[in-house]
Amino acid sequence: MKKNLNISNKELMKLDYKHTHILKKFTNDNGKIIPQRVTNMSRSIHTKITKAIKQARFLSLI
Amino acid sequence: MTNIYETTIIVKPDLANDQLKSLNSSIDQFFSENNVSIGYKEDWGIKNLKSAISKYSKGSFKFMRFNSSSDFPKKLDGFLKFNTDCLRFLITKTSNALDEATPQVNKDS
Repeated sequence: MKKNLNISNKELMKLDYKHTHILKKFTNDNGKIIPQRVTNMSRSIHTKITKAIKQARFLSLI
Repeated sequence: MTNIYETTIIVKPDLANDQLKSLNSSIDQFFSENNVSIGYKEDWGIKNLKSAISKYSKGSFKFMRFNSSSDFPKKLDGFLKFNTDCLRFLITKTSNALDEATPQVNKDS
């Protein structure tokens, strides 16, 4: 099922590891990254999200 | 060619005031030795870590943004790697403005 995340395009373009409140929306209860086919994001945005999530995990922020 | 870089440092939460001061001064000294000025500095305070690092469940987060040439981040990496008070750090290149506030600054852990 597709997910509706209500995030503006401006926020997505500036997304990085510090935006933990947004990154949490792209992870499930186990902390796993939700696939692109569910979030319905573009390839470039999804790459940005996964990179930011992995950096935030490294710093133990999420 | 200069770029804007950001670094987030997790420091041990149980450091005494004088140890923290000496750490801050050593970082400042390292920046000044390499002729790099810190453009923006933030202290995110002590946060709960989602996964423990070296048996520490809390960490004191420090964030700084600076404008430097491309060889300085490597030098900073070498400096922070051997600092025993620093639990973990991340240096990234950014397209943000030098004095832009981060979303973490007013956030409680």
